[in-house]
Amino acid sequence: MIEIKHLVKNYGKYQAVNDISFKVETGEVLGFLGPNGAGKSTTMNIITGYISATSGEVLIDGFDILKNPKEAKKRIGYLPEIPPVYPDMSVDEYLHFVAELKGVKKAEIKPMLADIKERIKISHVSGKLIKNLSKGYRQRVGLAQALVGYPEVLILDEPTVGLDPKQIIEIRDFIKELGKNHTIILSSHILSEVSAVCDHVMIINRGVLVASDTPDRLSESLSQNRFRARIKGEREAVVSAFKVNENIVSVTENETNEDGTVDLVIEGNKDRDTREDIFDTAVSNGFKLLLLKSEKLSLEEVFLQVTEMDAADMPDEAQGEQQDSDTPDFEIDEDESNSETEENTEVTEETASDENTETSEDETADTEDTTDTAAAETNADEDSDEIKSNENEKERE
Amino acid sequence: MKAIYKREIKMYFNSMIGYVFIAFFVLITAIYFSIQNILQMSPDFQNVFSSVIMMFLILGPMLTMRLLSEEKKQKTDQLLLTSPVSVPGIVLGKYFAAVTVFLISLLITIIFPIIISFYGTLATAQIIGSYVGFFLLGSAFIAVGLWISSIADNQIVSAVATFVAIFLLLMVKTIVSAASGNQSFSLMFAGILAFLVALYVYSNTKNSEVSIIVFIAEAAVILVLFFLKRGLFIGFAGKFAEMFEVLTRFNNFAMGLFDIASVVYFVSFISVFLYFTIRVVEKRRWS
Repeated sequence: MIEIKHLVKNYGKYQAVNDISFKVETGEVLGFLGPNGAGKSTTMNIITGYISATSGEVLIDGFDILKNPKEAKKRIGYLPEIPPVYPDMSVDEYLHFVAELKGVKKAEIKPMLADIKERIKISHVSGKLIKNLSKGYRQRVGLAQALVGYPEVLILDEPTVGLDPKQIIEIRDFIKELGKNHTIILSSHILSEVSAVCDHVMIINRGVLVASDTPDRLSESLSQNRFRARIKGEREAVVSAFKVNENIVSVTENETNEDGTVDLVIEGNKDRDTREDIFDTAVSNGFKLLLLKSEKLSLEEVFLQVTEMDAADMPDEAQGEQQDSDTPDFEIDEDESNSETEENTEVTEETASDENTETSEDETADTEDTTDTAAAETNADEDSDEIKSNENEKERE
Repeated sequence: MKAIYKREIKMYFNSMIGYVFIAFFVLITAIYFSIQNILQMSPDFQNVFSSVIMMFLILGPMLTMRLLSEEKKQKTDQLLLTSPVSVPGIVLGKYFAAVTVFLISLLITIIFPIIISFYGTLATAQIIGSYVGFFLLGSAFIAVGLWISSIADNQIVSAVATFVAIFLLLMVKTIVSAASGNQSFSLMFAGILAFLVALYVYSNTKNSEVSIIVFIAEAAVILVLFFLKRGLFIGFAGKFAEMFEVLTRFNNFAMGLFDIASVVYFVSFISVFLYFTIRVVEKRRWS
């Protein structure tokens, strides 16, 4: 069990972690999400006692990491961002050293290491020097190291980085299995990984906890009153009919494979049952409703929405350093979708319209140009963001 | 601590460093033994030690340069510091490993006095004293090297800084005795000390205003003292440097004096630097 209370970590004036509290029970896998430099690794380093918090408390099975470090650390297996391996030792030597370091009893070392090597599939490289191993194998050795001593709590910082797809799946299943009787915190950039492995997701942005829930509920809570509807009828007529309805907040068009139909993502007022509005609008205009289902946000979208909401909330805070580091991340994604526009319309239209639902509420109904306008809009948003952050920087100077 | 000690010993002998260290140490001692004892037909083995002290300049850094700096660079300190091992345990494990390698090479050189004992009379007291003194002296240098390695970010910086530090420790008497009677030298020396203290304050607080104020305050106190109580400054630098005169202490042993004060001196010298090392490693967590 891990309990974190009001964790704060300052580096000079810069706040890396700002008042984070949470609790992870045994048998639970917690996923840490966040853009680069959000404070994930810092939080993990504090939990494991590698660095100390400015204020706040960390309890591992009830033992304080600062007041009772020996007992607390005995219960933790930690895989940091960079696996802490000695290049000039062989895998066996290294794991043996770790076992001694963690105070494993002499008689137990051999069977334990054999078991761990078997599970992580590194038995065949036991005799090799770590400096001769590939990145993926080093990562696995790092994971093996975390498991030595069978600690109850596992802290894994991006455990699947550098592994091949087959390995990733194996390690994920392995973590899931471990999660049944261990307490696990893992961080990742890969959102599908988090939703596949974790029982609970926490999104951290700029050191602040912005969302915390199960992956399912997280996407549900943020996508209330969003529905996907397929409607048979003339495209322009359909779109304008829905636009006119005052109970509908936004209408976004999606690509459809069926001829003569239009796919719409419709967001309605929160206090009404939007399904009825959609039905009524369709009927009163003489359209046929072919499909109506609630539209869940993928974890990716939740992530973007939550982290962007946060950015909008506090534009003037001294977060400049962070902004620098995470804006380019999103820019790259969007640049990619822009460049794809010419080659692959179908894919782009989907991603672009997803962008639309997040960024703007008043769309142009012009169907032909949706993708272009969407791209232009996101670009404009980015530009204004950049200008903002530049201004912030100037102000600070 | 035991795990770390074992790993370090293994690392010394898995890589070349341990063997090179022992070979170099024994070779140099053997050369001096041949020249001073065999060729000159003299049984005074203790003189060999005074002659070979200079090789610490190279051997000291060799033994300590990678001990802590490499852990930082490889990020393996993350493993050590998140394991159920205390920081003193980590530092002591590494220190004792380095001292062990040094002790092994020292024990090998016992062959030389044994050879002498076949052909002449040994000055037993002086030789035993020399061994004890030489061991304490080397251990003190290793403690300094370990401390520097905990500050330095890579092996090269660590090695060069350790070389300079050992050089200063060996030369401290020569430098200070040349100028210690001089009052303005003492004043300058006090100024340098004040500056170092201010620098230390800055490195801890990262606050330039506070450190400047500290420095000005120190300078004011020094100047006031200089004009009011000039006597304090006579031999001030010399008295200060005495704390670092490891060589004088060693010479006591070489003369066959088993001086408890000198043993205490070396043990405290080593403890202080090990304590500094522990503080440096611990402080890293808080910054």
